[in-house]
Amino acid sequence: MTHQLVLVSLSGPDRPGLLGDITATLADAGFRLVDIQQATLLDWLALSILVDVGPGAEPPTRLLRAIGGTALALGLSVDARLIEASEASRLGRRDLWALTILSEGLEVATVSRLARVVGEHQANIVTIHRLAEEDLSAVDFILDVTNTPDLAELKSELLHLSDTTGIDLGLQPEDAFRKSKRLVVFDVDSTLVDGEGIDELAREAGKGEAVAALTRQAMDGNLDFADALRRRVALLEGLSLEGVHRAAERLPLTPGAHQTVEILKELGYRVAAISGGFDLLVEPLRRKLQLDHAYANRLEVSSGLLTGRLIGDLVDGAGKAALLQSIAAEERIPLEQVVGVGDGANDIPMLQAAGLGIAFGRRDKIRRAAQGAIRKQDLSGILYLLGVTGRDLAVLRRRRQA
Amino acid sequence: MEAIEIASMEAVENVIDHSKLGSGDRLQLESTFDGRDFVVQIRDRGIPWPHEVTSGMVGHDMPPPDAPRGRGIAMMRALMDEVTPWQGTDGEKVLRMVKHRANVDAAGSSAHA
Repeated sequence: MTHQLVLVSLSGPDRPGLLGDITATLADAGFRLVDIQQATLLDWLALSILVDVGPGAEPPTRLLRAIGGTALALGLSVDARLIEASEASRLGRRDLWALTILSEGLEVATVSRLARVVGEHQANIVTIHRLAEEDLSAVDFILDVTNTPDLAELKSELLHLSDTTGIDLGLQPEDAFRKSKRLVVFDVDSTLVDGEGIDELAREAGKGEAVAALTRQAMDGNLDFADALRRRVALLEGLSLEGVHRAAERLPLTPGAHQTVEILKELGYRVAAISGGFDLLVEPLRRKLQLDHAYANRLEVSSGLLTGRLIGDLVDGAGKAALLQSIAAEERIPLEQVVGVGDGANDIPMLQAAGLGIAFGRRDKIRRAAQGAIRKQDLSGILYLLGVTGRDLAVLRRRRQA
Repeated sequence: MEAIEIASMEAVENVIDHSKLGSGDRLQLESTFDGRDFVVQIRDRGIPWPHEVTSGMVGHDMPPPDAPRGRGIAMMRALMDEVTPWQGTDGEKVLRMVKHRANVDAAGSSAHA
């Protein structure tokens, strides 16, 4: 005889000891608890329990009798549904993905549009958690995509929604690796720092316009990266190390970058920078942010002046991905636990090699290649994509102040 | 307050016993207090109420010991101010019970809201 399950959903005013009273009735009757979930909003409780009542027609009645009377006496409302164990096991097999929404404040109209897009792709919102401490600036929607025909199409429509509503988002598997990332690898130009290092060097060398045009073409993916880089470096010939130092001083950190790296390090993450830019600009950054690893193209220097040539292997798109993999191997961290963050076309291989790739900025090509897309010019949003909550951040803040 | 609890438990038992719920069936119990009335509603789609229950032919006074049904409803009516068994045309079956707060307070119990 097949086992029967009863899914009991209780809701009503919460109070201490309530779960004890409810589960006591189950324990007394000898029922087995299969699953349990609880959420509270203000003082309102929503508790769901799945109970195995065994075979036969009589036990479900016994359960409902026990729990129904207790719940009504506690002022709770109850919704109970009888399910065959085989049906429950079919319902229990779910492919879950976490959709994280970051915004200045989530508009109800945006939630409605979002839920509609999700629903149109046969994805079901299973749970919703507020990640931010006091407002709706970061919210996790856990989606069941078991019946979603095309996840890439869902993501594409979500990105379109992000373009029209101004929200930022991440879509990643809700599995063991989601919240157990251990290494975060950042691109540098326009990611950790707010600007392009080569443009600052070019300004020092008096070649600003010529270099900026080549940079834009390279970052948009319209020009071979290696070719563009060599042509720009050649324009820097004769620039002094003092000039390089001034350029490094002028490059501001991206808002949130310092704080984000600090928090990551405090939480035990290893943090690295891999730049398609230059070692002489990245090294001061490595020291300032106490990064665990930093890689960039090496500028050749002779008698205190740039020669206009590079030394060693070129750090291009493929090179960035290879470096990310070698750092992960050195740290003995599986790629599933690595996060890549970048803004340019040359970051795409690195973002795709990482377990979680986050596009920073507005470039459409990279936003579509990544699992997370943060357009807001503040890097701290990535913390929410890693599953860090506002409450966690508040605890860290208090710890630092103490 | 005890009266509401006893009536609620009796109502749950009564509905479950008569509805013969099976796999896929659903039972909903709602308990609300609007500051004036305590309202308990029990909904399901099991075996419909017998006509004599919804028409009010039974359940106002405690029936004789050999009567087949009507004791549960009579007991609830003795404890609550209103007891309404209702059968919807779409198969939904509702038992609604109301206790006025004034009568709870008069009985010397405290409200649970």
